[in-house]
Amino acid sequence: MSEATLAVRLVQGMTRGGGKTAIIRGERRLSHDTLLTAGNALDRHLRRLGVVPGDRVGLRLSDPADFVMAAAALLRGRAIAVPIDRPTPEEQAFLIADADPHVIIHDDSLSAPADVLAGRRPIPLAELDLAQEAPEPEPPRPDDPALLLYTSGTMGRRKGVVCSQANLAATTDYILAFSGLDDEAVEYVGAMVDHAFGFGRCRSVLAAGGTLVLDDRPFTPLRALALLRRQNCNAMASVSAGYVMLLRHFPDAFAERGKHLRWLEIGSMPLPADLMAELCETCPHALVMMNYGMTEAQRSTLIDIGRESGKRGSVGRAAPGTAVRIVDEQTGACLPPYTPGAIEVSGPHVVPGYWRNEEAWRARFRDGWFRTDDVGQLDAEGYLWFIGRRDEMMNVGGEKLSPVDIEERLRPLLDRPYCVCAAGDPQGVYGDIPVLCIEEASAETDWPALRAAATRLLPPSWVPKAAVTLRALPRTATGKVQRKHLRRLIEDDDPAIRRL
Amino acid sequence: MRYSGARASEAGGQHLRGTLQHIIRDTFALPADLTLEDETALAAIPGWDSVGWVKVIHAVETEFAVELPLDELADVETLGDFLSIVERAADGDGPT
Repeated sequence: MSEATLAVRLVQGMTRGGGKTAIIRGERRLSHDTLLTAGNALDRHLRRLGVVPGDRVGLRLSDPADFVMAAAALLRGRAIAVPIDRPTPEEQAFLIADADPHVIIHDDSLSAPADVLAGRRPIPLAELDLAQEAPEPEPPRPDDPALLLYTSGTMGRRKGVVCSQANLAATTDYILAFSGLDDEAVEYVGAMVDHAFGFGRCRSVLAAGGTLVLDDRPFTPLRALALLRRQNCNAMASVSAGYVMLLRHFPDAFAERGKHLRWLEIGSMPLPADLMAELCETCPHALVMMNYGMTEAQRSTLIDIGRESGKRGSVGRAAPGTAVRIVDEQTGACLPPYTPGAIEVSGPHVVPGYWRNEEAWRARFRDGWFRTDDVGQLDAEGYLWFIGRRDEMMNVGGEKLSPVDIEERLRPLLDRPYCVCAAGDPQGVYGDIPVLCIEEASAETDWPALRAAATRLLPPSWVPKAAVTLRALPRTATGKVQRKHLRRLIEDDDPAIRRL
Repeated sequence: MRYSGARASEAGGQHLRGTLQHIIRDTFALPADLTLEDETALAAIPGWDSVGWVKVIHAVETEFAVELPLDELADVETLGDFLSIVERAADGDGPT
């Protein structure tokens, strides 16, 4: 077990940052010193409320500056921070009942019903004086559970992932070592700060002693461009959909800002290959970083798609001290390079378990390796090439196909969001068939013409056998398309689906 | 798609408002009886998302042959905010 803790990393960064601005949100400015003081003060408040090591403290704060300040403060102590990351009363109720927090620090966006909150001490942030001087918290230990993040997905199916101080430190250290992010960083985080990717950026920038630029309004390419310019940012983090929108719709304006950027990270899912090249050209001085990871094992691999351009399309190599392997799904035997199989990861970034769900964790953890449920292959240099989610792979007449591969090949034909998912073959011939799902308000697509074009581009079994349109593809909170959910909609003849 | 054949010079307030509403209705396939007021928050429009927002902006720029100031659009919250930016651009005051 690594001896590092995130608490130590945060204190190091905040001490380096001192009176410099740590967080900008609109007109608001919070210095590193303010964050340090807030950590001490919050710890004293919580101790007076009877919170002991291992107790959960819920955070429902809609202003990202409040959230990051409170989360960073909590992570300096020995309680477990629980972001309550959903807006609806039902979703908050599920999360609160599951995480069982002793205290909930909130603003007026806390909407869970009173019976769920009973006995849990909801405390408005505004009532906590975080500017008062107080002693430093008792330092947490590396294996202390520190953060309880919930996987994306539908309510009831979300799993609480317990991240230890050491896990969070390991990921933060890897990001800083790989990217050279330092205290000159002024980073616009165009991603949700209460999710794994966005919060990973926030804690890394704070640990570097840099400045975070946050927004309390949803990401749009226009907000991104405006904040990059107004705050003279030299770093940016967004999910890949954000970069796609900037490159496609505002290439000139993005290029104007892009030349000032030194660090970028792409989250959630890989950027398509042609857009990777475009992004590197648009931001010629930036280290453009992409990762492969999940809440249970954040930043398992990293790649700088600028410097490692020959490996674009891969998701990079494992961090020092961690490992990625490819195994046969059935036997668990390691597979040689260039052989597709199940991706497994190990290292100090892998979390110790799921929250109160030992059985689910046992199913994912084998001989010290976390089974990711993804399929990929390694090359001779140890780069990981992601193929797809195991449960999203389709079996078309005995041939295993990745929806991601088909989507990539269809890209020249479509200028609007789309995806490919599996659906059961209604003729009962193929098992699965690939279905093209196009996001459009009205069914405008000329499917016969599109299918004819696809037939010229793709091997026969890859050509979607059917196409549907819907107003919006179902996505997770981080923008990943939910292909399994789409499959259900298609097979259930859901009214949201229009067949072409 | 052209919505009205309008040119910037003939874009009076009411006409412009109607065209904007038409573009937004088309983009998000809104029901005909849904009222769009100047006070309507864009984020409250059913199906509103950043991709649709970009489509609306591009459609308005094409329709009125204007270039809208991106930095100001970043702060738009209501239909009225958007309308006033388009009005200024159509009158030739922006962008700079």
